[in-house]
Parts: sequence; C-alpha cells; structure tokens
Amino acid sequence: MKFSFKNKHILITGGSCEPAQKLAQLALNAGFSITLTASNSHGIEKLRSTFSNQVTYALLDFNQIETLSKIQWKQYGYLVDFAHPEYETLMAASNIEKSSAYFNATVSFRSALLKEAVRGMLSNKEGRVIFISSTASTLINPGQGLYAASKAAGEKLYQSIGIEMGKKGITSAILQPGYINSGRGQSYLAKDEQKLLELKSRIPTGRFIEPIEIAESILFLLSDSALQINATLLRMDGGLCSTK
Amino acid sequence: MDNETIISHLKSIFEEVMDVPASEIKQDTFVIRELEAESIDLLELAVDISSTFSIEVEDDQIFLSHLRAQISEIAPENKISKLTQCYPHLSQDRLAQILTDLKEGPVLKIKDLIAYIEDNQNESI
Repeated sequence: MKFSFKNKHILITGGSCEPAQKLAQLALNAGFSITLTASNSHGIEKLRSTFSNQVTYALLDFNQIETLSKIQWKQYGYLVDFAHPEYETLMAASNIEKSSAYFNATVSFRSALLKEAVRGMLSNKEGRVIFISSTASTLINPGQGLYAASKAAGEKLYQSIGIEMGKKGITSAILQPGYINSGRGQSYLAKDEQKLLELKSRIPTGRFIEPIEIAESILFLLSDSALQINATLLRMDGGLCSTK
Repeated sequence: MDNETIISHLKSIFEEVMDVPASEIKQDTFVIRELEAESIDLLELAVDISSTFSIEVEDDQIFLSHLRAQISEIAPENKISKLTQCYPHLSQDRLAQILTDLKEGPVLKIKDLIAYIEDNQNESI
C-alpha cells in the first residue's frame, strides 16, 4: 500500500483501545510516525509502557478544550479518531448535567478537534481524517441512546469535512465497526452468556470482529488507493445491520 | 511589521489561494464583491494569514461574517459604538463607511484584513 502525503504522521486519538494500538503497530511497520493520545497522564504512562519511544504522546482531554491548543497540528497528515467517552444510561434516567457535558465532550470538542486538524492539513493541501464510529449509531441497545446520538453526530461532522475540503486535498471516511472482540463491546457482552450466543447467531458471519481486522481496514482507508472513499461511511459488522 | 510588508505578504497569499494577480490587490479592493472569494477561500486565507503573520485568526471577526445579522440587532443610535466592540480593529470612520456601503453588497476590503493583522500582531502566537 502507498501512503504519499508529505506528512506521514498519524494522530491517533483514544490510543488506549486495542484496535488503536494494533493500528499504531501496523502503521509503524508501514513507515509512519505516530502520536497516540490519552485523556490523562496515567493513560499516557500506560501507553508508554507498551510503545516506549516508538511513538510520541499527546494529552487530549475531551472535557478540556484547552488541550487542543497544546498540539502542533501542522505535523499531521492523518487523523484517526477512536476516542469516545462513555455514558450509558436509559434516556429517562439520564442526568441532565452529565448529558450536557457528554455532548460537549463527544460532539463540540470533536468539532473543535476537526477544525484544528483540518486547518493544520490545509497548510500542505493534503490530509485524511478517519472517524471510528459504531453500529450502535444504527442499531441502538437500551442504555446506548446518548452514545448512539453522539456517534451519529461524529459521523456527520466527518462526512462534512470530506464534502467541504475534498477539493483542497483533505478527505474523510467513517468506519462503523460492529461487535468487536475487545474492550467496550466485550464488557457489554460478557454480562450475559446467553445474549452472547444469541448475538453471534444474528451476525451472518457468526463471529465478532478482531481488533487487528479493524486496524488493517483503517490502514487501507489511510492509503492512497482509498482516498476516493470520501465523506463516506463503511460498515464492518459481519453483515449484522444488513439483515433482519 | 509595517503596512507595505503586510500588503506584500497579502498579495502573495491571494495569489497562492485564489490565483489573483498581485496587481489586483489594493487597499480598497473588495475581497468578496470584486475578488469573489468563497467560504472555502476565506478558510484558506485565514489559515495562511495566521501562519504568515503568526497571529490567531478568528474567522468570523476578520471576515465580518455576521456583520449584517449584528447590525440588524443594534438600535440605530448605537450602531457605531456597538460595532466597535465587535470589530475593535476597525476605526469608527471605516465602520461608518461600511454602514453606508452595505446595500451595495459584501463590504470586506483588503484594508480591513490589514487592520486586523496590525491589531493582532501585538498578541502574536
């Protein structure tokens, strides 16, 4: 795969999740420089224990807009955005202040992040921004309403970037993974063995996605060959959302 | 940075972003009305101005993006004083000129960009 941008440097937000770490390793092997972000210094130290000096690190707290100004945006030709705070609750049980803060973090902050990233890329007239969404924005489980709404908002923000900036050499794609054999999906599923089996039977491929598959797909989306996949959502769910 | 240097840099930026010959860029050239800058052009101009002059650029302020909406919300007797608060880089004379010229179309001129740059150079990034 070819990656021809002048700034062969990826900013990966939400570096602590397994698909992000798999992506970082693949991208390092492909000759990229990587910056991984975490929301606090403890997260950075955990990442450092895995990656040491192979990558650089940046503090990006979605609840603190000022963390955006600490980043040197012009160095990044690529952005892969995994980070997404959690807040699962039934809609009618949600705390209004927490909900408001949640949307500030997951939508307003994301919009500001994209503004900074894209303006940095505009200097070089080339860039690629990838949003890692979730099939939760399409098939919503009880308790995931706010998460689904914020993921859907993120999808539209990234879609807009591809539409507005495509002629300036900056394109976007959205990857919508289904159930992943890791992290948030795994902890949700681990609560109920019966539910797990039931779910697998609904997925046409009969299994969950492996983090390395997510990483490999993202690496393709970053490549020169994929740049015409612009302002577009790709679903990677084993066929879950395509069937009744 | 003196006025002549600012204009010289702006001419290069407009040439790069909008393919406008330097000879067409004068203090009183209208950025949108004459040069036909679109929103994507303004975005690029903002990024290049920020980089070239090492200043923070607030797009809405430098390009007077919400001027008409703001004017419609201000009582006639307070227009100049209120607009001065919104656009501190513009002189009262310039604001008065803008109010007279509004009906002709977008009012932004090259000299307004120069004023913004000069006003913000004291707070360089």
